[in-house]
Amino acid sequence: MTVSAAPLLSARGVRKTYRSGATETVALRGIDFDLGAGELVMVMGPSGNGKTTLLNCLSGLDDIDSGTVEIDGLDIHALSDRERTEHRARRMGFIFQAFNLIPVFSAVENVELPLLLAGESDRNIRARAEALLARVGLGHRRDHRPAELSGGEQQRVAIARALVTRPAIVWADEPTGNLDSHTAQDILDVLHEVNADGQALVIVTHDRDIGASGQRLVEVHDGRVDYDGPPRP
Amino acid sequence: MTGLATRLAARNIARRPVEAALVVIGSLLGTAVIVAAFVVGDSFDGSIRNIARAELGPIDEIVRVRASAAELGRRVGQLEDRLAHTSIAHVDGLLPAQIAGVVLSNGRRGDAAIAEPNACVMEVEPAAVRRFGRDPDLTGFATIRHQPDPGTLYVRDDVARRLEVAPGDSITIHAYGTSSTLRVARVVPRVGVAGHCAALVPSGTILELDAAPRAPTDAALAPSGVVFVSNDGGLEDSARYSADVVRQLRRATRDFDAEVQSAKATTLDNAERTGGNLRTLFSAIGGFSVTAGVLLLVNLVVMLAEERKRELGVFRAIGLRRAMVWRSFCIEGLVYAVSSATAGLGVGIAVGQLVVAGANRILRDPDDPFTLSLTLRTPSLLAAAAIGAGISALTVAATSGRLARFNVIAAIRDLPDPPRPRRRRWATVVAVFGAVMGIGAFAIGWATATGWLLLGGPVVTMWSLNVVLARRFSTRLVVTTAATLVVGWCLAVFPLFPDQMSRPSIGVFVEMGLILVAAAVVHATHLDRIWARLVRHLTTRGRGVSVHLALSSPLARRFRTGLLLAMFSLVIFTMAFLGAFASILAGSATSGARDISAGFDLIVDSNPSNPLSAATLRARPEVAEAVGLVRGSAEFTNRYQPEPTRWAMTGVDDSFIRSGAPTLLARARGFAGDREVFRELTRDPNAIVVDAEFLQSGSAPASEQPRVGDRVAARNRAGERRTFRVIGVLRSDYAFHGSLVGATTARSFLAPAAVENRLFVRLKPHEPATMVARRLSATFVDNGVSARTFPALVRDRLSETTGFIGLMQAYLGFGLVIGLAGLGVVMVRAVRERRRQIGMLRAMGTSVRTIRAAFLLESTFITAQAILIGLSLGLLTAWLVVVRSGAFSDAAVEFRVPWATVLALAIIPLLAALAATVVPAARAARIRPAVALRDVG
Ligand SMILES: Nc1ncnc2c1ncn2[C@@H]1O[C@H](COP(=O)(O)OP(=O)(O)O)[C@@H](O)[C@H]1O
Ligand SMILES: [Mg+2]
Repeated sequence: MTVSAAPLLSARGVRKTYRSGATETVALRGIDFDLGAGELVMVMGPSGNGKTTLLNCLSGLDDIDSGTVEIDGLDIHALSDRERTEHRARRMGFIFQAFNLIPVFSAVENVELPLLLAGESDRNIRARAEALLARVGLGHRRDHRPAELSGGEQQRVAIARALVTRPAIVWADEPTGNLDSHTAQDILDVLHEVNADGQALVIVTHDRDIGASGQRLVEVHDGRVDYDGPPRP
Repeated sequence: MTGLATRLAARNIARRPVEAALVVIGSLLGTAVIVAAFVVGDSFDGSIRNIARAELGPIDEIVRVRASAAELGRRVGQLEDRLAHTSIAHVDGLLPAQIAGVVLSNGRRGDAAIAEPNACVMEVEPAAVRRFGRDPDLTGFATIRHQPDPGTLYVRDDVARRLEVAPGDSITIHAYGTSSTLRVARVVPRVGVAGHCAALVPSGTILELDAAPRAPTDAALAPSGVVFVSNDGGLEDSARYSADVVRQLRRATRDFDAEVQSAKATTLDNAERTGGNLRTLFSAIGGFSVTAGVLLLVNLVVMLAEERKRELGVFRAIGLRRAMVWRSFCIEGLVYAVSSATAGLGVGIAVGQLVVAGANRILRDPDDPFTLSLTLRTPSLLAAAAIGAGISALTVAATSGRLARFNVIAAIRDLPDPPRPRRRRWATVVAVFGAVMGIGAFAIGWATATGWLLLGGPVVTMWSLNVVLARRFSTRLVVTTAATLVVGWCLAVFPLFPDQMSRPSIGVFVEMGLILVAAAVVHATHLDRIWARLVRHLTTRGRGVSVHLALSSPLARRFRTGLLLAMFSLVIFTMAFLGAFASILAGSATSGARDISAGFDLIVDSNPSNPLSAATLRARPEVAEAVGLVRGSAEFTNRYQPEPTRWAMTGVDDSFIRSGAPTLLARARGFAGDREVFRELTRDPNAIVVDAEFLQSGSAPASEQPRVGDRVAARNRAGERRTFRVIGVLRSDYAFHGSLVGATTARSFLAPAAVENRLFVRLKPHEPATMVARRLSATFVDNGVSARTFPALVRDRLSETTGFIGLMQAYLGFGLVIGLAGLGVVMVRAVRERRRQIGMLRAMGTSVRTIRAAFLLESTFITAQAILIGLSLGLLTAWLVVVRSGAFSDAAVEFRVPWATVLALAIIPLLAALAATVVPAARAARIRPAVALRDVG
């Protein structure tokens, strides 16, 4: 896959420091990062080295101290919170280690929520959500609440939820961290399918095998990008 | 091991001090409501008892003769002589005195002129008073050595205050058509014999007043000679001999034309009755607030426990026994209960004080200087605090008992508890037992006309059957059907059982309120499917993500929502009911005035010792006609009242019905109209018209109400008996006629104590009635005149009741505060619980505004449902109880929607709920996704 001339996302000199009381933790020490449309990027690195922080800062969930992050040519950190939120609703999807489903919503309600948030007034919202649930293999559990689903099933609902608006970028922070290896492989298969549809995917993972399964590997060490290139055998 | 439970409890309290404080505040409010109810009851009781000290002292009974002042001295002497020479058990003192009813005025002109329209003056020998009874201090004469010097008087301190006079000023006494001005020599405290009348005057004063020449038409109530009787014992315990002593005194004075009155026992009985009634009333009304408090407490405990579930699950997994979990919860609960009871005691006393102050404003009445003073009694306070603490401790123990049985795995994985296998056989036994008990209760209630059993029995049966039915059918179906049936039963019970359900007690009303609200809440919490469809409709049209979010939590957490709803609806229900009740009363004022006016414009009452004559009024330019009514009282017995009961008797002649008549509720057969009934009174000396509450004390069952054709036995002061036949029953008696007979009958039967001191006045056309009334009252101050229009009279009579309703609504406001506190707590907790969820929503692109709106909408959703339930059921119950039950059928009542109350109840709780949610909602909106998503657990 080739990186197109104008990348989807382009980050330059991103720095992030956490302050709690007198102690300061420098989490990102000047990150440069580009993401092309449809790319599949695996992010690896030891725990506590800034992977989650990187995801949060690149996606605009968290503020940065210096640097710029441009998505679709927009400096997202220069946007107001409201504009950034709207942008997220249209262009991004998120998957987390803890599945973070809304417990009082059924599976299908969880999946259709992003469509509602994006302001879609299509009468077929429910049908689209159901179709996607069926695609992740959960068509028969659409009216169950999260507490009634297994971890793997919950994560599949979360994936369906992240994809339903067909976002340009999907961020996944250790999506298989809470799952056994068999279930993890299932989830990974689903994610690869998604990428094949042309959506860019950034996956943080601890798992060497998963890290090697992408087209590009980024290693983060102590708040810096150590390695950025094809996966190492 | 107890050490561990204690440590666990202590940690939990210390770790979440805010939650702990909220639990304490919740139960504190409940305790305060109970304490306040007790304080109010004690204060009424204490204040009425205080009259015994202030106006009676050693006086237990009063033996009274009436005669002209010239004869009075001799008559009293004979009476005392007789009593002194008869041996009467349990009597330790006799004291003769002469008393005259008078009007006292301060003699000033214009606005400074103040009168005491219904006062009395007394002549008594101080040396004899000090010997009277056992304790001179109780007589109030400990420092009064001599009678007032000629030309002076001693005035009681409260009267001096009202008349704005001090020693050296003068006071004018008006009676028997003349007046006499005396100088104030001394102000005496309102204690015992000294407090019995407004003023002490020198011997001969009454004789001088009564001897003055006057017109023969100005017949006034003669002065009375009394012998005060003191029983053995102290201030209050002496009253226990009263019944016995009264009987002996009656026997000893049979040939004397004397009236024997048990003064202290009557006062103390009244104190107990009034105090007890108010305590019941305020406890019952407060019961709604207490229930709200209990629900808040359950809610808080459930939330606390749910939060700790995972941690407790781990404890349980590593071997902590279930009993230990429960014990730890209980220790925690005990700490909350004790601290809240202590604080609740203080708050309750403060609230009681407010209620007493409010009651004093309502009771402010120029004719009756009774005031309430705060009375705190340690046993009541301790009992109230113990009840409060007991309720909170029980609530916590019961709730945590349930929670301690959670499933360990479910708790660790944070899953909902799996349904526990039911203990079927036991459940069936209990259900069948409950169903049978319910039927039994209904049968007993029906047979004995006991409203609460009749109402509650079928409800118990229905809910017991649910347990069995829920196995065959879906719980939702069973529960909602039962709730519907229960509401239907409540609607039907009054029309179906008019006899058993007439005059329901306040307890039945409370019961009905609880049943209806519970049924409605069950319904509301099972409406989730309908709401879901509604929300779908909204959201598919591209709006309403916040609505979706707002409704899903309360609909998913049915139990919690139900508690909140119940808490709120109960309070609003009661307020709406009281509001409707007040409005119905206000509505009956107009028809009540029409009922009693008989076509006249004004009612003019004056002091019986110095009555205003009809002739004097007729001479006024504004007046077209003035008709006199003869007033007095007799002792009556009838079909349902075997005890001789003193009741008012009023005499009317044909001029009274020249252009109308009071409205009758019922009249004997053969009369074409109400006027004909009254005309018959002037012809038949044995015919009588009585009021609808004739000879009743408090609320009486339907069988004990006067009917046309009843025989009524009356006994006058001389002991003469006469039987009357009831030919009519008054619809309203705001004028307190009591009973009506022909004027000549009243004069002859009630002499010498019958006086024409009430005038019905018709004004010339276009005279402004209210202004004329005010002018007449001011002009005839010396006669103690009170002139009023009929609507004003009815308003005065009702003002106490409506005032008390207002006071109770204010008291209920307490419950509303509890409800709001509950809502606020739930919302704060909800924000904390849903932090990660909110973080995720924000990550997915939910705007800050949507998050905030969702929280505000959630509390609005709950509050709006509660308002709907409370208002509609409150009005419905008011309609059922007041209009359909026949409880108030005597007065002409008409259902009126209290629009002001409805509006206030619809808006204020909603705004308050929004206000209580603003802070949690803002807090939710401030949650930063990157931070919240990192939260563990
Ligand atoms: N809210 C915070 N306050 C202070 N330090 C933080 C905060 N969040 C993360 N950190 C610190 O920032 C560093 C990077 O954390 P993180 O991005 O979560 O690492 P990773 O995802 O690679 O495990 C860690 O040292 C962590 O302790
Ligand atoms: Mg005595």
